[in-house]
Amino acid sequence: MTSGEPPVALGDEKVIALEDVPRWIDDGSSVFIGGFTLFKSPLGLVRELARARPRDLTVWQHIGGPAVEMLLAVDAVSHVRASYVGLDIVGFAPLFTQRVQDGQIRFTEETEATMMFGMKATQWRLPFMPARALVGSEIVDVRDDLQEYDCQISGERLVAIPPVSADIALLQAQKADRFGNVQMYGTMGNDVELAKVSSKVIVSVEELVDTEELLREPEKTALPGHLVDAVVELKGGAYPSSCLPYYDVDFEYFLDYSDAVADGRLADYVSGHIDGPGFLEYRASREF
Amino acid sequence: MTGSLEQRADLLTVLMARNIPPESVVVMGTSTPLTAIASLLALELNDSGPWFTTPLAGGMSVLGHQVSLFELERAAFDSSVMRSTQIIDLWEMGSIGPRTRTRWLQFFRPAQMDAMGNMNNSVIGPDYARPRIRLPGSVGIGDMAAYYTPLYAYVTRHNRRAFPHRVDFVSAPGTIGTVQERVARGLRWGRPTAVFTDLCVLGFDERGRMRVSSVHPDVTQEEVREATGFDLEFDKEWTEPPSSRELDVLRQVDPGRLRDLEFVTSRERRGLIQANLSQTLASRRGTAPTGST
Repeated sequence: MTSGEPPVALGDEKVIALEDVPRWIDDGSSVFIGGFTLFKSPLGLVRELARARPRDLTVWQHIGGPAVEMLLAVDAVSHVRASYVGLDIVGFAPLFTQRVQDGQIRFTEETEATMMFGMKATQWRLPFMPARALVGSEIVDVRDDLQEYDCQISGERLVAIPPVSADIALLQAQKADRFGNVQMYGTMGNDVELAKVSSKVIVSVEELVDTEELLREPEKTALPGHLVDAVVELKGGAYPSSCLPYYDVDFEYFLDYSDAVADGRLADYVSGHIDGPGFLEYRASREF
Repeated sequence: MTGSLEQRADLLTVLMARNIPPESVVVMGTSTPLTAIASLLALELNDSGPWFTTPLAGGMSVLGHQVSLFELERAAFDSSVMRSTQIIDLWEMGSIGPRTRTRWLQFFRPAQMDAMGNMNNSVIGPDYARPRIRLPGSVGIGDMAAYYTPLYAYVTRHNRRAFPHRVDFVSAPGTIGTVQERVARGLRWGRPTAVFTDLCVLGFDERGRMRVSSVHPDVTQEEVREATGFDLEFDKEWTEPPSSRELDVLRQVDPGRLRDLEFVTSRERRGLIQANLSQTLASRRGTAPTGST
């Protein structure tokens, strides 16, 4: 391509409206959430999903936090899978903690290895990945799908980690073009891996840009368009988590959230922040 | 125990920093900001390295000289030499990769640890299915325990809840026993090395049992025994107190005393976070917004 010439169309256009997101996710689906606790999580997409009151979701987050809480708040979840669910330095994730203690939801104790090796097993279409990780850990004992075994070839004691995949992944990124080529950097979690093993991928981006702009810095492109099914342009889409360099975590929001649940004001939080405009008002009060 | 909370936090941060050699690669685990502060302190004291890596901001950073916790992600982002690493890449480039494995350092923070170094960050209570307390989770400590040598842990409140006779759940295996017993169990690498607490420094003897390497100034052996749910043997040594230089530099790198966050109860933490947040926002006002694409 010579400069000045418009790039060719790269497959289908992927841009959808925020309101359309819930239609992509059936009741009973397994949903990967990108990001990392309070950092670069697609909370705008998750909020939109929560407003539609899906049921019986399996919510899967490598290192989870507010996205899990938001879906628990509207009783959309029957099964949580994660290596951690918390609000980082703010403290415990109150709903997750309570509901697991009360036996109201199923929880699968993931670790970094069960997620990462499991995703590798899917990517390479293997029945399991052998791991040194978790030898001697009781996490193997409480999960029926993990097994310590004596490898007959190497003679080593290893753990078999089964494949990991989900129906849909919700991710947050900085920029994308309308063909779903996504620029993502900074706090990555394992978002690229998640995209590789999900049947569908929706990405919210701070800026929808022309392909020409991506061509200027192609090294920032983390996901090619063929791995992405839908793009939602959503300024502040990660809020109240962070999306650098646009905005930092709003710790005050999470302090207030913790207080609201502790004080028995969960219903107010749901009606105000998820169904009502509270979340957006909060977001509007911040500069992006 | 006569030391104030602040003095105990200072000492523990200094002890961690003393164990971070300049050529190491330090990873900050989930919700363990003390690691970041200790890394900064080590960097300033040694005038060189370590590499600081965190899943925050995507990778390898050389942090600035002073940091606010609420801007930690941005500080790491702004001083990144690489911004595109996923967690899986951090593993392969550091902790489990053969090239850098011996330089990689992480400080685990178990909710419970027992005499054999078993660590629990999963559940409190005897019934896993219906726990008395569901902890946030163990992230990767059960995985990393198979690899890390040395393997460090820290406990900010040394008491019988943190050091029970037996952990309620083994998220990460401890020493297992002697090195031979460990290898026979299938663990060729890793092994808990030291545990830094607000009362003492703990090590492990050749049978794999925890023992006290040194007791902190102003703490008695009796206090350590009282606060521990199993028998301990003591080496006859005192922890070297922080030097005035170490304390001076610590004050420079962490002026807001974020190191206290992990020492207070969850109720007290809210006030501390709020105070630090107000301070950060106040100091940010009047400065130009940072960040560019």
